Amino acid sequence: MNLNIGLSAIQASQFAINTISHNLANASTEGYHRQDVLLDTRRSTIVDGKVAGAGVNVGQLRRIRNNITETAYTNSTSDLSRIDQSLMLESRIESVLTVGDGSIQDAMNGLFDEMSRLSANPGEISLRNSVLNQAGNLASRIRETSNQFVDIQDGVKQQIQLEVDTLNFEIEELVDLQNQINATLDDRVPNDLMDKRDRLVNQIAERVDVQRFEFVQNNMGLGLAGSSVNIGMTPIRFETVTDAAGNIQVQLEEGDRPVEFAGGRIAALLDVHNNVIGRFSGQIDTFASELISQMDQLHAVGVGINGSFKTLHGTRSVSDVDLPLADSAVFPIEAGELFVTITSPSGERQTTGISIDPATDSLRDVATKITTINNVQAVVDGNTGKMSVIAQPGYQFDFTGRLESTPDLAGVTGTSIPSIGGDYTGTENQTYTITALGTGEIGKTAGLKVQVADASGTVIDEINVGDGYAAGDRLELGQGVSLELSVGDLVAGDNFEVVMVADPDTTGVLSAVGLNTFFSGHDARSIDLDSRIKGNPDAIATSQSGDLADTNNLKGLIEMRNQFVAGEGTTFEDFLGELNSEIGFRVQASISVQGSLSDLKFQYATERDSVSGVDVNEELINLTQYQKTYEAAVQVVRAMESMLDELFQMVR
Amino acid sequence: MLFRTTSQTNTNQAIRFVSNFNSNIAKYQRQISSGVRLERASDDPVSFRQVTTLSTQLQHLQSDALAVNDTEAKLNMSVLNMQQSHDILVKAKSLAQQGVQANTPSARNAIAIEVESLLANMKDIASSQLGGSYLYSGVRADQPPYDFGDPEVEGGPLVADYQGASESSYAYIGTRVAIETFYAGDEVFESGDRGEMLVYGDTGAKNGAGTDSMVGRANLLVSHTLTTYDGTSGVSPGASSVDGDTVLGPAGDNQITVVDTSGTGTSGTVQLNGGEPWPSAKLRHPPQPD
Repeated sequence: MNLNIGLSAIQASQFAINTISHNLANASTEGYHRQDVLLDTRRSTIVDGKVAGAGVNVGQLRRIRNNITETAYTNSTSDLSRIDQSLMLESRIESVLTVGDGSIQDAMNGLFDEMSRLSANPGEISLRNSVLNQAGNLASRIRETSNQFVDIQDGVKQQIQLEVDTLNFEIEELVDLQNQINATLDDRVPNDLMDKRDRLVNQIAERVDVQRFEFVQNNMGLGLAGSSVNIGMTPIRFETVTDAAGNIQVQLEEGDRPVEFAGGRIAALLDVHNNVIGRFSGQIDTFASELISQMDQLHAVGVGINGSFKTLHGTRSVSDVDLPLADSAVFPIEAGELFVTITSPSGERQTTGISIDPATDSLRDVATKITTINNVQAVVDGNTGKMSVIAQPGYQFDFTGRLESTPDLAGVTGTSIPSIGGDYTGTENQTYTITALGTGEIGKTAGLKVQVADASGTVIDEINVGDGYAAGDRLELGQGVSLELSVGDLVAGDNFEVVMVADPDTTGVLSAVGLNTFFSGHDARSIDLDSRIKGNPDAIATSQSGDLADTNNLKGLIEMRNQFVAGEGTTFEDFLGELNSEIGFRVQASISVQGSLSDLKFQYATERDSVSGVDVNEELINLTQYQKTYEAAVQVVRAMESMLDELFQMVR
Repeated sequence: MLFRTTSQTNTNQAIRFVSNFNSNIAKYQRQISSGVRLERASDDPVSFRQVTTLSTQLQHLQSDALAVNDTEAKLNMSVLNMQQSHDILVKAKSLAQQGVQANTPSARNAIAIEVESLLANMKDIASSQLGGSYLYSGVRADQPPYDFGDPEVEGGPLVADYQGASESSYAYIGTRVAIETFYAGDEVFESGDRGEMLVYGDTGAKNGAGTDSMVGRANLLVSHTLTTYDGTSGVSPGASSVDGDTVLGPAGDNQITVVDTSGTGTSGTVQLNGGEPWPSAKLRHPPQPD
């Protein structure tokens, strides 16, 4: 009997030593939980009426584990994976937007700086070429940035698919593992299978957020995406779908609603794909679209050093030439006036305004209105959705809205001929009516005056043109506009209008249909230099008169850098800086969160290891202990053997 | 709370710290190599924004400095031109005073030659170019500002027709400063002030009642287009009437009296407005019978 006690001690020690060896062997195995042998005293026996010990049994092979720590570790894994993935992609976006040499901001600064230099040397052809180069560089940089966003988004899309496929595989593996664990007999605790299951759960937690539920008899439940999806005894599968807006959603294969993941890489990838990239690429699109629209609008109302045009072909299409422009144009158009200036073969300028209402006027209607102006015709191509404007032979046209050289004299019966000069410097379009207040001879009749009134009839001034006025002298009407009256007479009530145009196109229609534009395209992916000015620096509309050193229109182009991007509350110059700051703050916040989560996960890992990790020293001490136990048990057996020998000797 | 510390924990901690240190070392190494502390916005978004703004401003200032240099060259040349113009005018005034006292043709000729030289200098100044562009043509800087012609009459004023633009060209330094670069020549060289018109010479003309609109110097040319004769007078315009005669005035103002002193029309006198009769050797013969 005592031999059995010794034998049980030897067996128990051997088992314990094997377990220690297993622990030591897996000391560096990720996710391994140390095992501990629980010894159990054998049921006592009655010897000579006394209760006597019967030795030892191996009671349980225990896996040392703390559920709370394990759950916290798994959750932190999910959170950290999400922020890691977000940070990686946000950093990539930051690199795309980073300000510096060759950036959009750099190219834009270069363009405006070259324009400024050109204003000091308007006749310098090399500077005109430089402006074109900078503009081409800016367009190219914007396109590249847009393409880089597309590349990132494509890469993220592929990554989402890969993650979902891997998740499906892991879920299948997890269910299979759980079934193996369930199939294990009750007294054989499958510690290593459960370790493997824990590792798999943590792998899944890197992809999506998980909630783990522990049940008795080694059972475990796993909820995904805030427990909206639970994994049971049969595997489930996810799939990706793309909605009409191009957003990717992940849903169950048999489901019809997207699953909202809160953690893991998939949540980060979906957020970056559907929101973050869209936000920044959308901002670049807004920037490009506004840059094109505003610069084209400023360019369209100027002329190059070759002066006005005989023909202009629109470069932007409308979706339907018979639909109202509000529904068919690529850029927004507002109700307002477009002024067309016609220059006759003798150099006389006539400026005529047409009203455009995008809610009712189609492109064809606009063409019809332009054609009502003498000596110019607009035609629309129904196939391309584009409009062309053509002047009669010998005539030229432009959209500068310059002062008419001689006003319409239909209301003048006297012999004195008025002529208008100067450049209107006002900020609003205005029409002054000049009316003779008496009858008499210019420069002779005492008290002969003309009245200047604005469009509302308010009298601005009354100017002497009789005795004391030298015929042909300039009379300042204000805001840069002057009037001259030739020798002759005025008749009381004679009147004519002076049309003064500050904004020749208050509608934005020129930019929308692409007449005399600086850029082509309408967004970040399509922006380019207009083909009419590409390689033709003389066509840059720096002037309003066509004179070489006229920089009046260049002024507006230079000032554009301080103009506001519509709807954004920031200037073009600040826009990219703000965008850069936004991604900078975002990355910085992610780095901070990543640091915290990383520390937290490390803390949980340390806690987990403090419970479940293998301490080599501890194991060696235990090994020594069980070795001694083993040796003692052997001694017990030997003693029993010796005692039995003695007993057998006595019996013989 | 004291945790069990395993060798794996120690290893993980060591790896984590080494990784953090390596990351920092790499960051500082990168800063040393590039000489730039803020490489990306996330390094310090607020400072990065400030640096970006300042860099942009620096870039603009550098560009503005180039534009200012270009503009300054034009302004310097204009200043020089104005100084020379002033000198020329001073010299001209001096010559005018000398001219009053010049009694001999040779002295006046010498002054005239000097005046011609001053005029030539003035023409050169008005036609100054910089970098191929005319300084005083306004925005029309690719065209000479003045079309100079010979005086219409000997000793008359120099003909100088301004053909530049009346608007000056502007350079834009930044978005707030506009500097005139190519000036309108008519504003620079032509006076806008007008005094009382003076009529020199024996013209018989005097200032009218209306406001004078005369600018500069001009020759008064009194001419007519055609002389017509009463239909019953028997007198008709000769071939050289338009260019040759000097009869002026509205119809009926002038009266011609023809007196046939021979009675045959072969001789007589012609009298204009009762003036001195002009003997005519041959009056037109009436048709003679064969």
